[in-house]
Amino acid sequence: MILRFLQPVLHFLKVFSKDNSPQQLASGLSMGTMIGLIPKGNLIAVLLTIVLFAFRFNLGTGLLSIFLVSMFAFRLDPIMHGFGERILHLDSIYLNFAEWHKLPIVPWLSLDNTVVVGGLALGLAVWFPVYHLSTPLFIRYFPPVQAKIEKLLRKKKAKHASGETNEANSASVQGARA
Amino acid sequence: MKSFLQFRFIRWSYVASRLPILALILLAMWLSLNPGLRWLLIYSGQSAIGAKVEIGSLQTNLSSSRVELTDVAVADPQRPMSNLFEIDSAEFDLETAAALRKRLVIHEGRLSGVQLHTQRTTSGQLEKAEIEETSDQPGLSDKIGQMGEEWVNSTLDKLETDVESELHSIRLAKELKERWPNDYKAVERQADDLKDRGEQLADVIEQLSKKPLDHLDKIEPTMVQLDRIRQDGLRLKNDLQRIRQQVQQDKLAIEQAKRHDEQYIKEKLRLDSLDGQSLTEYLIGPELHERLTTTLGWIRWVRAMTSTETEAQKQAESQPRGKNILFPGMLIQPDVLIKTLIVDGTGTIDEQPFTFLADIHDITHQSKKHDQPITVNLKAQGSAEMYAKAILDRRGDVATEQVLIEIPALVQQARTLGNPEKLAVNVGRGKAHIRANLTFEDENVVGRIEFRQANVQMEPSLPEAERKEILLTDLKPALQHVSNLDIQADISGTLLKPKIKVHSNLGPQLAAGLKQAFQGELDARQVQLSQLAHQKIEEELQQAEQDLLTKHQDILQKLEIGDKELAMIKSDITGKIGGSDQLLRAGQKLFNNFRKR
Repeated sequence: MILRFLQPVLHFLKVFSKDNSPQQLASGLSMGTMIGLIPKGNLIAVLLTIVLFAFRFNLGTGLLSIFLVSMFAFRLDPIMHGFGERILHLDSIYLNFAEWHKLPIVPWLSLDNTVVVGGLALGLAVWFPVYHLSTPLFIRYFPPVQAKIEKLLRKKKAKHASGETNEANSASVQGARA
Repeated sequence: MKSFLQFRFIRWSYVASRLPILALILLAMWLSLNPGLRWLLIYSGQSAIGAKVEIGSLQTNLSSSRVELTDVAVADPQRPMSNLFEIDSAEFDLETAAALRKRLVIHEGRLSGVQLHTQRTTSGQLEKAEIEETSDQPGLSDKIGQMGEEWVNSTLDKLETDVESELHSIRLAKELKERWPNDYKAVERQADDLKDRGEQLADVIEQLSKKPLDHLDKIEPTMVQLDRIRQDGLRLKNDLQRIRQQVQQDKLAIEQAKRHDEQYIKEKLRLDSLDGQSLTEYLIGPELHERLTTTLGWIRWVRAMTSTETEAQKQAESQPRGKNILFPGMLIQPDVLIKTLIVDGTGTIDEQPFTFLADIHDITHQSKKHDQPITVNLKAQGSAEMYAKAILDRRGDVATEQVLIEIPALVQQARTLGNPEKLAVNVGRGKAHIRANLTFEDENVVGRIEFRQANVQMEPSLPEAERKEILLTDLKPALQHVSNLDIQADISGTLLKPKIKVHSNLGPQLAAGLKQAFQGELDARQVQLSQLAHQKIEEELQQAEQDLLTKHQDILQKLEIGDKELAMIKSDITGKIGGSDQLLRAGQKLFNNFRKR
C-alpha cells in the first residue's frame, strides 16, 4: 500500500540510477541551477532545458535543482536585474544584442530583459563553482544513497517479477484444468 | 562520423528516441491548434465580457498566416437571452514576421455579417456568474422634465380645486344665518317671560279689584312690580334695536369678506409662470434620457473592452521581472495590434433595419506603446443613413474619446412625447437629421446632440379625465404654426451622472399655447366663483332677514302693547289711590288684555 503510494517517487528515483557519476550529478545540478535562475517563458529557458535533456547530465539533480531554485529565484531578481542592466549597458553586448534582436526568433530569447540576461549571467557564473563544489560531495555522500535507491528499485522489480510469475502460474494451472 | 556519434557526452539514444516524440508532439500541436485556439478565444472572451462566447469553427492556416472563424456569438451579460453581437465569419491575416519577433500583429481583419442585439435560444449567462445589478443611475438626468410635469400637474389640480368650500364670505353668511335667529329667540324668550309676569300681575290686580280693602298692603308691591315689568320691556326694546344694528354691521362684514374672497380666488387660480425650457424637458427628457443611456452604455462597454490594462496586467506590470531595454533603432511596440479591422453587418434603429460598414484602425490593448489612437469610421445605410467617426485615445494618462455622429435622414415613426396620461404631444412620422459631437475625457463627458425633424405635424393631447373644461380645440392652436421640431441637448457631467440641458422650439411654443388655454379657463372660473359666492350669500341671508323682520315686528308689537297698558295702570294706581272702582276696572281691563294673548 505504502509502496503503491510511493510509486511516483520511485519512478523519479530511477533518473538517479542512470548517468549518475559524481560529475554527471554535479553537472546536472549546475545546469538545473542555471535554468532555475532564469525567468521562464522565453526561448533561453526552453533551449537550456532541451540541452539538459539532450546531454548526459543527471536528470534527477537537474530537475530537482530547477524546481528548488525556481522557488526562490524571484528573491534574487534585484541582484539579477543589476547584473543584467550592467551587462546590457556594455557597449559590445549592447550593440551586438541590438543587431541580433532585429533577427527573427531572437526576440523570443528575451535578451532585452535585464533579469533574463542577469539570470543567464549569474547561472553561467555559478555553473563551475556549483560543479566543483558539489562533485566531492556527490563522491562522498551519493554512493550510500545510490545503494539505497538501487535496493528499493530492486525490491520493486523483484515484487513486480514475482507478481508476473504468479499470474503466469495461475494462468497455466487454469489452462491445464481446462 | 563514427567517432562523433560515439562521443558519449551527448545522450544520442535519448535524442534519437525523443525526435519522433517531438515530431509527434508537433503534429499533435498542429492538430490541436484549431481547437486549442478556439478554446483560448472562448475562455479569454468570456473572462473579458462576463457572458458566453460561442465560436462555431476556427481554422488556422500557418502557411498563409490566416485565421478564420465562423458563427461567433457573444452574449449580453446584462440580458442573457440576447447577444451583444453575432458574426457570421471573421478572417484575420497575421504578420508572420511580427510573430517571429514576439508580437501578434493582424495586418487586416474582417468581420462579416455582424448583427447587433440578436435573440438567443439559450441563456448566455455563465455558470456561477450572476447578472450584475444595473443601477438605474438615478443621477442620470433624473430631474429632467420634472419641473414641466409639476407645472402640468399643479395646473390640472387647480381646475379641480374646491375653492368654494374655502370662501370666507359664504361661511360667514351661513354662521350669521344661524346666529341671528338665536339672538331674536333670546329676546323673544324674554318677551314671553315678561308676558308671564304680566299675567301674574293681572291675577294680583284681579284679586285687588274684588276685595281692595283686604289687600291694601299689596298695592305698593304691585306698583313696584309694575314698574319693573315696564323697565324690562324697555330694555328688551333696546336689545331688539341693538340686534338690528348688529345685523347691519354683520352685513357690512359679509361685504368685506366677499371682497377678501374675490382676492383669494384670484390668488388661488393664478397660473404659475411656465417657461418653455421646463416643458421642453418634460416632453423630450425621457426619450433623450433613454437614447443617451444607450449611447453612454456602449461607450462604457467599449471602454471596458479596450481598457489598457486588466487588473492582472496592472499587477504584473507593477511587479515586473526586470526591465526591457530598448535597443537602438527599435520602437516601443504593442505586443498585440490589429492594424485594420473591417466590420460589415446589420442592425436596427426603432425596429428599422440598416446595414453598416466600419473600418477600425490601430486596435491594441497597449495603446501607450502605439503611436496612433484607435480610430473608427462607420457608414450605415438603409433605414438609418449614418456617418460616424470615433477616436479612442488611450496613449496619455487619461483616456479620451471623441465621437462624431451624423445621421442625415433617420426615419422617425409617429410617437408621443411626454406622459400620455397627463400632457403629451403627438409627433407625426418623418425624417430627422441628427448630429452628435461628444468628447469623453476620463470620466467626464461634454458635447452636444442636435436633432431636427422638418415638416412634421405635432398636436398636443390631454386625456379626457385631465381635460376638465379645457377643450382640445383650445390646445391645438398651440402648435399649429410649428412645422419643425428642433432639439439641442448640451451634455456635461460624468459618464455615470451626465447633466443634460435641452433646448427646443417645442417647449416655448406649447407653453404659450397652454398658458393661453389654461389661463382662459381659470379666468372664467374666477368670475364663476365670485358670482357663485354672491348668489349663495344672497340666498342664505335674504330669507334670514325676512324672518327676522317678521319676528322683530312681532316682538316689538308684544312689547308695545304691554308697555301702553302698564303705563295706564300705573297712572291709575298712583293718581287715584282711593278710587278703588276705577282701579279695579283698570285691573280688570289689564287682566283681560293679558288673558286674551
